[in-house]
Amino acid sequence: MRVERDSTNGVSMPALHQQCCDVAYIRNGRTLLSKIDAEIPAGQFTAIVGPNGAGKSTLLRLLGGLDHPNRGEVYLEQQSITHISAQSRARRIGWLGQFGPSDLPLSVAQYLMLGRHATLGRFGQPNREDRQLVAQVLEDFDMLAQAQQAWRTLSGGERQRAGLARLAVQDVPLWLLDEPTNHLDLKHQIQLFQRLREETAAGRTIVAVLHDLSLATRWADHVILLSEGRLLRQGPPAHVLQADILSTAYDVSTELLYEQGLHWIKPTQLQPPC
Amino acid sequence: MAVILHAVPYRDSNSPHDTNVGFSWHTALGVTIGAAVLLFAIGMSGHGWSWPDLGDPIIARLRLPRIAAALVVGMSLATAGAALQALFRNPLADPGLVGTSSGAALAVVGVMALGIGGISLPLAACGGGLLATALLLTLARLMGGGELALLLMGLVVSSFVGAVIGILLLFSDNLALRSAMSWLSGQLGSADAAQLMWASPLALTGVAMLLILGRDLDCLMLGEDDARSLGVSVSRTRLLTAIGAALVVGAAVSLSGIIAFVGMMVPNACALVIGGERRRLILISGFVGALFLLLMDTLARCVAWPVDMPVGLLVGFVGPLGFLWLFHRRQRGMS
Repeated sequence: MRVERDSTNGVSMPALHQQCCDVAYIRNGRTLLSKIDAEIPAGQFTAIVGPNGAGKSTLLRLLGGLDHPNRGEVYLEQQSITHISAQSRARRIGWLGQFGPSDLPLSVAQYLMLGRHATLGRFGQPNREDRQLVAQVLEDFDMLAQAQQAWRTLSGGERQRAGLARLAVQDVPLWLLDEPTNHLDLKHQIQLFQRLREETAAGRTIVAVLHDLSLATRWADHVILLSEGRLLRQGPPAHVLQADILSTAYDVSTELLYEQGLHWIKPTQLQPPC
Repeated sequence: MAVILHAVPYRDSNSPHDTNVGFSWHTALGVTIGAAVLLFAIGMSGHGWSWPDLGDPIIARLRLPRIAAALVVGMSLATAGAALQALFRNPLADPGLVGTSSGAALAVVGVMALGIGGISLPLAACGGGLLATALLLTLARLMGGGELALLLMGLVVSSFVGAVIGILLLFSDNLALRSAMSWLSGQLGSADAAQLMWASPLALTGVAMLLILGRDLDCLMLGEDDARSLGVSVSRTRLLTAIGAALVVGAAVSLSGIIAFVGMMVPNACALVIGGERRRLILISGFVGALFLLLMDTLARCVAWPVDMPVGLLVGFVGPLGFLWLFHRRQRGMS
């Protein structure tokens, strides 16, 4: 367990490490995941990639303890995640789903304060420190102006940012993000990844389901490639994202380009008609 | 109009810049309004308002218990509405719409048919409300379909139970049950001090439960998965909320029969001013709901004097308008 300084609030944070051992998940008779042995390295940015229906979100839910595997175990450090209570899990793992609430009768500041719920417990009321933390995070995420705004008035990008800010308020060492780039334009995508890199630099472990392979090669330290509920390959991006294996995974022949210091993945079939 | 209402800023005690200066001022305003409404209700009769003489047996024996009942019922319905709206993630939820009230009423009718009174009446009402809510949650889980299914199943349960009550009353030759017909449409005139003594502690226990669950309900409004990621046990929160709501609604129904719409209108109106944070909303809705129903009942008692109009009918006039307004506002908010 490594201990690093968190630049945002000066609290030291142990970087958490996760592991899946022979995990299988079956729902309604359908095997969504099988024989997954995956590694989430501490303090790094892991991307889960793969075609539609490969089981990316399912794996993320298992990592977050939202569902429990039918076989095998998900470990947080050395502890099986099924044996961790919901509250203590919420003090270590933050999870942000693909679809935030569409209508929520709360202001942004109230929404962020819900991140303190696991710490406060059912009976606690937020104190001065909790409010200061929320104010600090609002400032860090450049959302002070929206603090009193109602949730329903936020744009898609602002909601995404508010979701991350809630994780920051939750102050957990492990972030699980399901397609965080959804609804984000190019500029906000870049801002998002810069922020995520800052968070890993501060010792947070981040796992994100990503759709865009080029983004995964550019920003992730570690990539897990899934296809049809199985793990095809994991490791550093350059090791995982290779033309042959991607062609197998996506059932489209691809070619890898390296231009101006960046990797590009180009499908060679299915070109649009000129 | 909806545009103007959207523009009302949320006042937020959690805001980093908040200094709790406004609090005592708001409390003072609340107490003043409360006292004014109370004085109005005590002094008001079919002949107009006069300074109340507490020695008058009509006031002491009839009017005061009725006023207390109006306060308890109004508080109960509004707090239950505020909690159920978070549970169902739908601002249209109301104990009268989702079946809690009809379940409670069916149980009361059953107990009355057996000829038992006292504490068994509100207790049975709580049990009936809880069973109806449990049936609804189970149905919704079996059918799937998310929060919309939850509300629709509520309508199913509520109309089914309503039909059962109707059949029971139709085929009963028991006179007490025949008179239950007018009680069912929601009136406070028959509430007496003994009933109040049994019902009020149940209602207050329920309100306390819902207040404690406040932030769990806030988390639940984010969606099931987000709530669980924040450490909330979703099924336990649902069950406890259903129990809390059944306690308050059972107490209310045993006092007054079914009064619809209060549970829907009051919390939504309050949320426009103070925001939707549940703990605060439940507290304020309870206060406003109590005063609102008292005002309505005072009007119902005096407007057609000497006929004592059931307050449920009067609320039934205002309620649908409120419902339409809310629905309209919601549709506009979504587009």
